[in-house]
Amino acid sequence: MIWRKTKNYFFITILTLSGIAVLIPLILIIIYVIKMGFSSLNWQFITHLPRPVGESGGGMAHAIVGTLFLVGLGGIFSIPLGIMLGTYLSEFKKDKMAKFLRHTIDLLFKYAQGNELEEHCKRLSDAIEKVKPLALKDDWMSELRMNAYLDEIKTRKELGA
Amino acid sequence: MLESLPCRRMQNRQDLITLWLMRWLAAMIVLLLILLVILLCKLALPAISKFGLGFILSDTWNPITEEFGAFPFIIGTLITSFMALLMAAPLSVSVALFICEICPKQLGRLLGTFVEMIAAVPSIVFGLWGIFSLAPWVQNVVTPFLKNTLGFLPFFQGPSYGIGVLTASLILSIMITPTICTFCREVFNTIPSQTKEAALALGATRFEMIKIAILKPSYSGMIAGIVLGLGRALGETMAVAMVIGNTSRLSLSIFAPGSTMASVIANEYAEASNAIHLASLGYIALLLLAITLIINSFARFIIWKWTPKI
Repeated sequence: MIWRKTKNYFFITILTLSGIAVLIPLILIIIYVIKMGFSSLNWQFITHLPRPVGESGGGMAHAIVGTLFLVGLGGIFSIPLGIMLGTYLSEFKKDKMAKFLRHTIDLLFKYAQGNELEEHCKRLSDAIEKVKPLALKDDWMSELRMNAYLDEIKTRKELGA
Repeated sequence: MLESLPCRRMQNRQDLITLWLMRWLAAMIVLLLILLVILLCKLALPAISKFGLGFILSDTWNPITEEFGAFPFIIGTLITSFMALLMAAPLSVSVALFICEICPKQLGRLLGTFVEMIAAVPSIVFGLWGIFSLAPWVQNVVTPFLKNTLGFLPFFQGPSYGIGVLTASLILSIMITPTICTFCREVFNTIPSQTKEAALALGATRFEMIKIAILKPSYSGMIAGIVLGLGRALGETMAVAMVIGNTSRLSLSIFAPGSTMASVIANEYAEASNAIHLASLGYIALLLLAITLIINSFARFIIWKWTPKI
């Protein structure tokens, strides 16, 4: 019994340590970025273009605007498509094209991580999966009631005949 | 109740239109992938016709004499990915177990969010941190330690420049941890609490309960998560290209600089001077795509086998 208990505590200690260890890189990276970058972060850095080499001052406005443009345009292209395809994947799961699409999205997701489309698809597919029972409950109930009703009619007819 | 039937028929027509619209959109996405592959093939065609399948096993990469072979890069990709898996898989599984079973619910959710935050760090930030912070640490702390303990093996010999296969693997292992961890958590959460309670009621300790009631049934799920992590590691480009050192020489030592398929493409496509160089890079991209496809299908296959048939 003592041996089993020791093993148990040993195991739990290892799990706890790994839970702490996994946070270390994240904390180190955040500290590193703040340490290196915080001193040069000011209003000018966000709003100005870079000055020629040798002059002090200037900023990274072009890069920030570029990133925003990229994300914005990417979102405009991909969000409607992502919503549609996410709905498709979760609602028509058995459809043949859905199976192809799932593979394709998996592959594209690996291959081009900057692409937003696939992520939206996955998230939405998950979200719809969670909402669906609520939304469809009414539908199912009515269908079930309808089936029971039709069954009853059928039985009555058979009995009457 | 029967008078609701016409209404249902109209709903069906709406459903049908939506279904076809969505099918069409889905076909476009599938077509996108097919076009991508075709374009890649077209790009790689000169290299395919010149080097053939020998490209995979040839280890010369010389843009000046126009001789190309992908072997060092394939080996580099496989070694870095598997070393990353070796480090990340046990860690991720135990973190997932810690979150699901040992820590209090609130704290677990918080820790889970932090782990997922690792996935949100841009890979270029990982690369920068890897060069300026991790590489010196590897050179000054990890390398002497490994040399003193395991130095008799050929893998742990030779000088360390900080950047190299080991550093790239470390970075990769940090990057794929959230992928595996999140997947494993989802797998562990599917296990009904009755099973766990039954194990505990029979007198099992926490460790035995986890072994019997959680790890055993979710074995294939864990494997699928690890394979997905592997897929992520194979395609990782920027962070690896920054810390791996980029040489096309093969070396037994894990301290030596190397190269992966993704990193060589990222580094050389801009300065590829002649058509055959570019075509060779295209060929490597095609091989990488094929490897990713195989790994991915393997993960899908495991998940499909593991999903209960309803």
